[in-house]
Amino acid sequence: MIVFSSTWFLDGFTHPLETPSHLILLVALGVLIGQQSSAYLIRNLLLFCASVFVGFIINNYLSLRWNNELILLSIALLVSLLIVLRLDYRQQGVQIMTLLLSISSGIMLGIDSSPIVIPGLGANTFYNWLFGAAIGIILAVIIIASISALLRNVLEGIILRVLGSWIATSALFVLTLLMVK
Amino acid sequence: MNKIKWLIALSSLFIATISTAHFHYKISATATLQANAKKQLTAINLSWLHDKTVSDLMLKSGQSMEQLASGIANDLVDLDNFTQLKFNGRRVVTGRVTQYQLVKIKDQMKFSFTLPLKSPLFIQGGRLSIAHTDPGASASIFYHSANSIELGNTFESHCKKSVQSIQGFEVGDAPEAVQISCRK
Repeated sequence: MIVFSSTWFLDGFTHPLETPSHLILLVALGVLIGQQSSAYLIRNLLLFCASVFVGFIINNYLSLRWNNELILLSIALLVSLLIVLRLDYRQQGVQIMTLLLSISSGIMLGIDSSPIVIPGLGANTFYNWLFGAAIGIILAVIIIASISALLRNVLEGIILRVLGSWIATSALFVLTLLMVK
Repeated sequence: MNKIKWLIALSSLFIATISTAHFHYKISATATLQANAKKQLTAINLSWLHDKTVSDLMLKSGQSMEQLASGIANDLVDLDNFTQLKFNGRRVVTGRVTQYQLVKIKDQMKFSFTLPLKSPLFIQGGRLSIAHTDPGASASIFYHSANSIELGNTFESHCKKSVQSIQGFEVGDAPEAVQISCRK
């Protein structure tokens, strides 16, 4: 029987916030979603949440040997460039790009979230960890998107664009370190 | 003003979560080589003493010792038994753990088991290495010294054992290089 465990839940919950590539992508996507009109915010968030679960399922059933960190950071770089450009969100092309980035971010974050399995406590650690990770990922994007939505029109959106350039720099910095490794 | 209040509230929610670290635990291991009448290596008897944190979690899981022991044995299958054996650099295939037992020693849980080789192996004239890794990057398995490895009567006379710490190992990776070198 699976029992709620705060230890594994918290470990999963903090995982995306302790992993640089996850954190950079979460902040980038949250800012991008928040930068757009509130009409699309809920839709993009829902699609992102669904994609995270799809990613978990893919990770559980397929042993993909991708360079997840590289893909996560590349997506973060694309997202942050969109934030800096601040294209007109009413254009269909921009909407499709945001949708695709939300979906691919969710799937990749899910794929790169491998739960802790302690032998003997397997199912319990696995599901509590995944539950925590899902809540951590989703809550982080919701909170950042909400903050960004509040800042969307402040100083004509300059704050978010500056933040976008910092995210791009961070993504490039971590990508460079990854290449050096 | 309302906007600022919201911003502070939302930011504090986000920052408050970054306070705990990824879960790590330690296992102290011992190993004994097992041989057949032909002086081939057939299995390794391992015992893993879990640290107090994980032992406590096991005890509080509400499972009996038998349930926990069979749970460990089953979970190890998907985790590659936390063990990779190599002979002269080539992977040695192992089977499912057998003859397992879980006992409580003071407040720590000790899991003893046999890790059989798929097929018996002559290790005379070669080098056997043992690496313990955790794909979930949570457990680190230590021998601490070569005294934790028993070569047994068959291999004692012509094999040498060594355990060397690996500097800067990442959690989940093997923290020690365990080598058993045997002459013909």
